[in-house]
Amino acid sequence: MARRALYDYLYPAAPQDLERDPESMYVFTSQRAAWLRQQGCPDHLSARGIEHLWAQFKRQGSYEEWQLIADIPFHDLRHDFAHRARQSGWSLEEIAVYAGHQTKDGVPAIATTVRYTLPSRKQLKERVQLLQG
Amino acid sequence: MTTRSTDSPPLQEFAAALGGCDPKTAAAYLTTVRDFVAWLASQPGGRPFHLGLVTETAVRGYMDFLVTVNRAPRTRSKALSALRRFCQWAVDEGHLRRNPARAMERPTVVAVAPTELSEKQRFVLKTMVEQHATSRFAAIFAASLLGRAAHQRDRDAATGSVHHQSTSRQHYPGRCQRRKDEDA
Repeated sequence: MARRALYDYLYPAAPQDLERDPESMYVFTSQRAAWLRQQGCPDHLSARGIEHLWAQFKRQGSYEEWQLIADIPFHDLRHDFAHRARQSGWSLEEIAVYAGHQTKDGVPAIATTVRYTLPSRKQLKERVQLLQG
Repeated sequence: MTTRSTDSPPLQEFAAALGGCDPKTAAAYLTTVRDFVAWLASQPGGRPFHLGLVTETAVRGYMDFLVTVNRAPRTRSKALSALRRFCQWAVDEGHLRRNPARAMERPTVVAVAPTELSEKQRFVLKTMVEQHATSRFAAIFAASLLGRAAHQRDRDAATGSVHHQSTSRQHYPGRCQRRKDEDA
């Protein structure tokens, strides 16, 4: 799914559907990419831009959908990925490397990754219930 | 480093000394120190600002002030980091004999609550992406599901080749590097 979505974005069927600025070296470009380049600034989509798109996107849901997703910040998707990877058997080191958690020396920053994969209260409750005796 | 015409000379010198830092870090430090100077100005004898006013009492008073205006522990912790850096600069330059912010206890920052989406939330988000999203947003969403919100790959990602490239955060040669855990 992810690869398909990226491919469709980078190589749309019709050239006029290309939403990316082809002059840019970045994957996700700002809508003001050309202007930013003129100013000598990086022309990638900014974190604020992503948050804006995310808020716009969430508003398109029905009331029922909105109630489920209203409180989800975009960055939670990254946390969710780390949880799913952990549940799929990835080690903390693997998640750290994949998620780009590194110290300046290039060593995996496990402490950071741990913050992404802390067990929830619900998970701990389930564990406690499994205790014998 | 961007300073304002209203900044006092010590602040401008401090800003110049932060030249090697990540611009965002430097800007955050300066914002805090400006706020500290503004708070100090509202105290008896707190103006005009000079480095002699930066005492342990002043730093502690400012940190207590942040509590009274309901600043979050993480915000207060960041403010203390900025003040420590400012005071350390003043010590290094010979303006202060000791760092008054050094002994200050750092506010306890509660660990980030673990965030895992429920099955229903994932279902709703994926459905909405299929129904409403542009190809651009669908690609951003897909990348984020792979934990790539902050680290995107270049266009070869879609065709299989991997050429890692960080796009949402720049790396500066003289960056004040501690650990790159700020995106947590």
